[in-house]
Amino acid sequence: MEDASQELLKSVVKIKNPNGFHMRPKAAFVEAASRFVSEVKLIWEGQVFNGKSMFELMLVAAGEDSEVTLEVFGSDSHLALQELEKVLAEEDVSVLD
Amino acid sequence: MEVYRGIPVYPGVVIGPALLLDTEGYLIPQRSITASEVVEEFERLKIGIRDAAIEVRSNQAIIAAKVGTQYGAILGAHAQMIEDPFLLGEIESLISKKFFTAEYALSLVMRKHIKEIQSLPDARMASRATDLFDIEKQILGKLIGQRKEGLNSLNEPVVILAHDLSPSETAKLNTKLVHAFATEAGGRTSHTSILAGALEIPAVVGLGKFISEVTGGDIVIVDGNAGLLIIDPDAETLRRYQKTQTDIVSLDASLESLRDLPAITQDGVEIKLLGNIEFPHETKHCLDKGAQGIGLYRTEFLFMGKDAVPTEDEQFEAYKEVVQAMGKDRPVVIRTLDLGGDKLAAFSNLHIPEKNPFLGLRSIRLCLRNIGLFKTQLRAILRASVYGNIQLLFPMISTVLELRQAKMIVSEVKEDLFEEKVPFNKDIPIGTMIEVPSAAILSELMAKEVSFFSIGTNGFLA
Repeated sequence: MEDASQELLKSVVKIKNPNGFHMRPKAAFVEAASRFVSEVKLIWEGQVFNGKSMFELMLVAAGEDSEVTLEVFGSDSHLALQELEKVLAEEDVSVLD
Repeated sequence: MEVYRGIPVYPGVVIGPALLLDTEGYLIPQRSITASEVVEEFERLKIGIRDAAIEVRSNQAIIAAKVGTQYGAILGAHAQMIEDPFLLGEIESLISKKFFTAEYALSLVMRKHIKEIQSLPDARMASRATDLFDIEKQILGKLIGQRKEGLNSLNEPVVILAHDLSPSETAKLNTKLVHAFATEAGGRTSHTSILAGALEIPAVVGLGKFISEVTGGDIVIVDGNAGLLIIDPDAETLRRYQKTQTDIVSLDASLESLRDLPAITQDGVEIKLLGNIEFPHETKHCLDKGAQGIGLYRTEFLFMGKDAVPTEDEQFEAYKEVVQAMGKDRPVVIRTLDLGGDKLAAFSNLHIPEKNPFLGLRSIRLCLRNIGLFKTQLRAILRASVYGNIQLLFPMISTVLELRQAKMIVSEVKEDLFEEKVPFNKDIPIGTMIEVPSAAILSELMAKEVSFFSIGTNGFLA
């Protein structure tokens, strides 16, 4: 991976979902993250979680209006960041989780 | 090392590998492999995970079609966890470094994640641990399906750990290999506990939540004397219990050598040693230990946990079994029903809530208020009395009048049997328990009414 376009991208995203970052948004996030070759990290309350592991994300108890930091690193990082921000910002108003 | 305190239901100490029995009956009977089997184990794991994911995804599709995609998505998340490459990596690393089976490694890894999730401050997120249990079960089901192992194919001694065991599950345990059990639920009088006594394996129940702290194959100690379950004991504890075990074995052996010696005091008084039982099949255990009879047969276990009162014939068969096993000469003291109405499902309609049921309408008082129930039991006992040396015992008598009432009912039943030409021992000895203070004070008068006393001391120790 000597690609010159490689760079570490960061973005702070606010969770808008009234139920917080619950299981289904997490599943959608992992699915999206896994489509990219870039490394995806999610930082919540100072802890770093692997964005491609559902198990790790299960430990993110981010409620509505809390902030998480996205870190993407790799050859397709720009596209990945864009896409993952979208997933995180999605409002899922259903009460299921 | 974790120590849990519960209710001891059968004494003894067992040290052995845990076998977790959940409601679906998945077990992890084997926890180690040899170095040469690692590659094969990787392959099993991958197939298990793949199959579990396929099944969960197909369920997802079914549920999505039935009730909506958002419901199906829950299973989608499960599938994602099952296919999580990091999960696979963690499990594989345990297999290759510690030579664990795929099942055991999976269970260990899942236990770790479950604990992490349970410790989340957000209660709703923490409750997602249930999803992880489900995922574990899915994969285990596939892995164990490959091996087709179960309780019937145990090949080494184990300790069964479960949330609860049904009486039928308990009854089916192969005691050659199941050396002890411990459960989260249950009480001293639950059927499972009673069966543990009958199977003669150390057991502790009512331990509270511990299942998420243990993995099948972990070494555990069941201390049926103190009512403890010790998970993953440290070296010192293990040593101590190993010593206890050898002490018990040598104690048993030394007692065995005393078995056939006569029980005579130094001044020449012979004392009869009799056994107490709850179930007919325990008679054999008593005989094996050299009992000269049954000193107390607690009949209430015939009545517990049933929707209906046992019929006269059912009771007769049970009493007959005991008395026949003991033979013509050895005495069998059968005590009539000694239970409160609150313990009898069949009496729920009769049951009047009381402030202190232990001192309320129970035992002989309940029988005297429910003559039909009492007479049925007396008929069964009298009918069985022709097969050996049965003695009849009334519990919880507190006045002479009560004792006379009870005896009068026995006379009525005898008359009925006589008229029906049903054989019985017309001279059956009748005794009474001296277990409440009034009976102790009235014992001189009581003595004139009965052939023998049985003293229940624990009622006097309050």
